[in-house]
Amino acid sequence: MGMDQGKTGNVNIIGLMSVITGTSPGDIGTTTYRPAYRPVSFGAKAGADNNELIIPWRRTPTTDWFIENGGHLDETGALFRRPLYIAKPGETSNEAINREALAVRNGVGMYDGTPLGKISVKGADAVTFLDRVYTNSWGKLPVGRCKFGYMLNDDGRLLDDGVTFRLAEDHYLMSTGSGVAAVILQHLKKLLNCDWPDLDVYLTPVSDQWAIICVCGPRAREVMRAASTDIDISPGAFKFLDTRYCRVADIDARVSRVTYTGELSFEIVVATRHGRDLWDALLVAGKDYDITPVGSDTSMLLRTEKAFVAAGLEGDGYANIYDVGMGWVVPKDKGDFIGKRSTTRDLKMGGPRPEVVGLLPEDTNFVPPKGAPIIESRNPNSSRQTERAMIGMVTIGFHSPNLERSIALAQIANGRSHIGNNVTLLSMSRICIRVSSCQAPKRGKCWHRV
Amino acid sequence: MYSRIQLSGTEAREVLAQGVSIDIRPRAFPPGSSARTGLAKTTALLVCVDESPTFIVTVFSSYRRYVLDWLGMASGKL
Repeated sequence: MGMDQGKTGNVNIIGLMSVITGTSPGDIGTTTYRPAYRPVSFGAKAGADNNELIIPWRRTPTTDWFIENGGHLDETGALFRRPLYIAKPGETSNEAINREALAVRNGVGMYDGTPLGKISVKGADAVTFLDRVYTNSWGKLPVGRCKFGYMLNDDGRLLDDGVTFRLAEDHYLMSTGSGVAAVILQHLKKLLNCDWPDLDVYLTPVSDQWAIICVCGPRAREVMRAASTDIDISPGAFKFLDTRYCRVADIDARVSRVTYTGELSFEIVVATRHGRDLWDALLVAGKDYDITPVGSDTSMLLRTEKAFVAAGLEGDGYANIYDVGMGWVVPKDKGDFIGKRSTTRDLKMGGPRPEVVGLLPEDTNFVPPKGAPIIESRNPNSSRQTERAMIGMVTIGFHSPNLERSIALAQIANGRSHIGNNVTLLSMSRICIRVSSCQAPKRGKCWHRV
Repeated sequence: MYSRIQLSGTEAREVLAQGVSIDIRPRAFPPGSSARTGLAKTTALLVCVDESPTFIVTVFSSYRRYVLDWLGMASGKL
């Protein structure tokens, strides 16, 4: 009887049945009634779950500041609403994103990275544990340093990436993607509880304990000095991937040289209750440098300019660590780790593999839409109209104000073999767009300075 | 980091009861009781500290505003 429980069809069906069987409708009778007998309004079901209470939105210490200062908030994972960009009065979204992106490359910007997942890893077997869950080796990481790691699942597909810090002899702090913090904790706890109960490792989720503010851009060091950072942060004394306890703006902090944007960056971690004080102090310290708050859309643009891959976008359920150009995170001499067998199998099986490459459209104003299909370009010497199969798709595209042209990343079958050649992109209106070249993302290489 | 919210008054139990799935009536949850429980759409540590009754609701800081808004709604309905 379906979802109306016979309320609309019952009478008609009784009528038809009586015709077919030659009996009266009264003899056919009705089906057995079940609740709900009367219509129930959606409001009664929803109760108080409406307006702001419909989703238990989480806040960082700076959420109020963004609401008051033109931040365009949207959900960016794990129920956090973060600013995609922070528009000045009268500014469009594109204008705001361009202004923010230019500031990070040429001056200094800052953003709130608090939603990042954080898991404390302690115990005598912490290194063994990290060696098994990440593709790279952790035994030689000194205290006060950090390293990037890639985590795979049993099938050798991308699970998460992030930086893990060694804070003390027996204490590591793992960062996870914001949206997958809970998933990764479950994954790791399951391993410890079910698969490796012999390991002496203790995990504590500490995502809510720490606020993260990141100052990034060529003038970031000057802002850090203006904010009275009480350690030597000169390039020789505080190197890339160093992490140090210190005080910033009179607040106890831990500062790290890690980056998401590819610029000189200082990631400042303070107790959550001091997060807003730090944010306000940095705004004051950075005033002379025109420090620019940056939203997450801008961060995505900046990482696309650098061709830094995002596990959730460039990696789908099929891509492996080599496909996204992160093979450098798998040391040749590495022992066993989760996903090694399947990744090795991929290599032995051979292509075609969905490799991540860059796209530079010939029309520098055309922004390749996310998800747009890519086919091989027609041979100009051939007049034959042949059907061409889809060989890939766009994973992210932007108009880059720093490069003054449109750029994109794409997943293309054997993509690296297409570098330097043209491919064709089918846009929504089925017009072929020529793409002038593919460029392989290179670690740490700034696209717009290549 | 956690946020602690104190809730007290003769109708405090009725307010909380709208969002928790455990039995918090005086005979099941007298002063001195504590429990980790779902509260509305998040989780909380609930402690009953005195007869008035007074409850201490401890939640993750990122959910503080949501829980305050929810408690405001739940109190307004009484």
